[in-house]
Amino acid sequence: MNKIKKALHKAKEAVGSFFQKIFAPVKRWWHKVSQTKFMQKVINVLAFIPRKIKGLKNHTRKVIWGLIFLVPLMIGFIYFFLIPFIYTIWFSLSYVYIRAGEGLKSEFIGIDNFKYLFNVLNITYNYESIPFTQYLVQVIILIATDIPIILIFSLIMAVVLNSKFKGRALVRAIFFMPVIFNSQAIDMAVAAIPELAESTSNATADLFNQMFSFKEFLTNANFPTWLVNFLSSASSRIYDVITYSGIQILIFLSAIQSVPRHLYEAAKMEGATQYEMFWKITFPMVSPMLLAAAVYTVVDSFLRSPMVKTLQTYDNPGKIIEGIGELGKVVDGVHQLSFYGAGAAISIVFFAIAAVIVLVVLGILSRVVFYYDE
Amino acid sequence: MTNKDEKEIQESVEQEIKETTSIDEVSNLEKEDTKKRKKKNDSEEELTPEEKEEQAKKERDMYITKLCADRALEQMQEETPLPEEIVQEEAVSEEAVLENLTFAQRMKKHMEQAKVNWNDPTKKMVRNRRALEIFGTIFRTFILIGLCFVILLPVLQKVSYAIRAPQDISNQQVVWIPEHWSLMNVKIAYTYLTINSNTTFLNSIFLSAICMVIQIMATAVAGYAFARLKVKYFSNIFFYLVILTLVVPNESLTIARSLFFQDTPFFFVNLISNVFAMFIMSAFGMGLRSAIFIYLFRQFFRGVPIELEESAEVDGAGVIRTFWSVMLPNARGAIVTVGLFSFVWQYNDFYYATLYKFNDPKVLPLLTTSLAGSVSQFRSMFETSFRTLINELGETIARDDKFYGLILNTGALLMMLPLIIAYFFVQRLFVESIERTGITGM
Repeated sequence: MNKIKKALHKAKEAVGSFFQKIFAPVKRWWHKVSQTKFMQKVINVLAFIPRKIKGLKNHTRKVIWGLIFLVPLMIGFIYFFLIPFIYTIWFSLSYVYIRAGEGLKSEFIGIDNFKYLFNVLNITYNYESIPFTQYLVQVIILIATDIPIILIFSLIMAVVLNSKFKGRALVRAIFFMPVIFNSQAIDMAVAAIPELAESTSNATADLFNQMFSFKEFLTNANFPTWLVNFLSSASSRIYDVITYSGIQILIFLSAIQSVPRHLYEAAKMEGATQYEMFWKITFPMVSPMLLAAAVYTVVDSFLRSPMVKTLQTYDNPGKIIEGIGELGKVVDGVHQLSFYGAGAAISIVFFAIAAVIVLVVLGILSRVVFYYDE
Repeated sequence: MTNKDEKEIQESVEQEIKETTSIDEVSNLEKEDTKKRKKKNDSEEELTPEEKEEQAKKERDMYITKLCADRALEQMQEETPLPEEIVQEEAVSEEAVLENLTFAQRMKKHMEQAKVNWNDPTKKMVRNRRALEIFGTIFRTFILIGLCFVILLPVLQKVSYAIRAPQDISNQQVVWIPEHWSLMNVKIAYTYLTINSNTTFLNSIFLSAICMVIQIMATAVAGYAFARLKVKYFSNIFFYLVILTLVVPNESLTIARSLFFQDTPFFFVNLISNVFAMFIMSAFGMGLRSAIFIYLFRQFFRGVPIELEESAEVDGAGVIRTFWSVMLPNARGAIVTVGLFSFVWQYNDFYYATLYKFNDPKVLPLLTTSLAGSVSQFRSMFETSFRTLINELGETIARDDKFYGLILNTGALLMMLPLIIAYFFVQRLFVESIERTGITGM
């Protein structure tokens, strides 16, 4: 390790000297340039606002600076988010087409796109074609089961990773690896040819199944079926749960670290067990971060839900020919629907569900949350 | 000591005094004391003979009680020996008793002792706690080993794919350990990843490094403005709007974005298939998950004591000077966290890379977009650059879907490799930095 540290130090020095070599002539050049008359004028123009502001009251000066600091963000927000967002809403209510020479054109057609979604559209999910509403329900169930599992799991893991044991650094390093490798491209690459992954995972999974079948054990023990399904799905998706909960574990870890030590000391003096300390101290103190973690979980699980795949097929109309054929049909005998319009409608439904789930989660969790200051 | 004992002692003392000494002798014994007292009482009037007699009587009584007390103490010491001796005697006697007992009796005695120990409440608590601790550590190690295995499994799987020869693909018996070892897959995967440009790896690292720096600057400025340079109502509303960008999934805006960006350039810069698109986006605070970073910086700057800023202001620093020289150097923890996450997410990003069409050889082919290419692209590449290998293996393997999957997995491993190597150097920073940012509460 010492050798590595020395090597790193040398590399740091080398990089530092390299940057110094580069920046020294740049600095000299800038010093020369800034003395010229033209540059003085430019600097005068640039310094116009600070000079104007200098004479003002402290408070107003801060307000003006606050606005100036937020100007780039405002421009970015409007261009990269707000206008596309409004576009999406407009597209979902209209027939969109592109004509050579004229560019993008759209006609208002009311809620026909949504009618099409909920009445006509079928989506292939898990190798079978099902109506859009049914598909939505399945996706929502998937996400709704994900949230409690991930939150509970990450809270437990944060507590475990916070306690002292041998090899903690290694375990922590391994646990946060999924945060790094979690890439959509890799997921797609691995999922592209499912047979390959199945061939190896089956060989390994069979071994475990022969030894111990979790689902059979629970059903034989007369557990209610919904509980059995929930638990077996949770245990079979353990890899997903671990890979999705890296950030949440980090959030909870930081929250646990910031709990005042004296609370634990007092509890220990009174003879509280670890279990009691968790429920009476750690959980209430960490609960404000539960909100942040929950919102992040909802957002993240939406990004990984099958909805994204559906949207991706609609993003690139050229890619799928079947869809265009289907959309080319005259719906209700009145209006023609465009591919973009239907895709935008799906987006709006997607966003609405995300917002509703976030609000519901916030509503439920805000009852659990305890604030130390109040 | 009972009353009877006291009386007996008193009687015996009185008898002894009568036998051995007269009253005068007693008074002689106390002569020195009385002399001293007389000296003290010099200034006072001399006592009458009656009073003298009374005094002598009192002195005698006092002497008797004193003697009584001494005797009683002596007797007590004789009756009760020192406590250490008791313990020793008892132990000896117990051992002796045990030796004389039969085995069954001895066991019975042990059992009785154990019962007493078992029911002892303090010992019970200690025992319970220790048992819980041992059980907890065993449980924890099992769970942790299992979970670590689950996390490492896909990586190990990819390593296993990478080191097997292409002809092993149709071999049913090869699951983990290959029959023929070779790094041919790695070579093929590398050529597949660098299909559009020779510098795909460098492109990815270069793009994410520059984006990281730009994003740190942009989000720190925004976070500082949200935390300290508050404009009434506007700041809070705008902050929640920025957080809204997190809740709206990116994918739901793809159509509108691609059409809108093609239609209207951003300040006369067309973003589609432009190398600088990602930099521009990051600079305007709307880069990859910038809202999280803004939230982080705002939370951090709120935690910095106001006195620090005020003292800088008193010394004549303007807003920019305060931000640059006082606040930013203090926000090292937040900067490290934001830098690490923004680098990693940018490196793994696929959405914006496809939105801005980076995959064109003229633009900036990235690892992610190359990896998510099509099958036909791969086949054409394979047939042109690995002619001899195809002749060796036969056409069937080259056309096999499984073989394509194998190469994709190896490519994924190759893509991860720079990050894995870097991760084991900065892993400590990664875990500890977020602890130091001090994000607590919403």
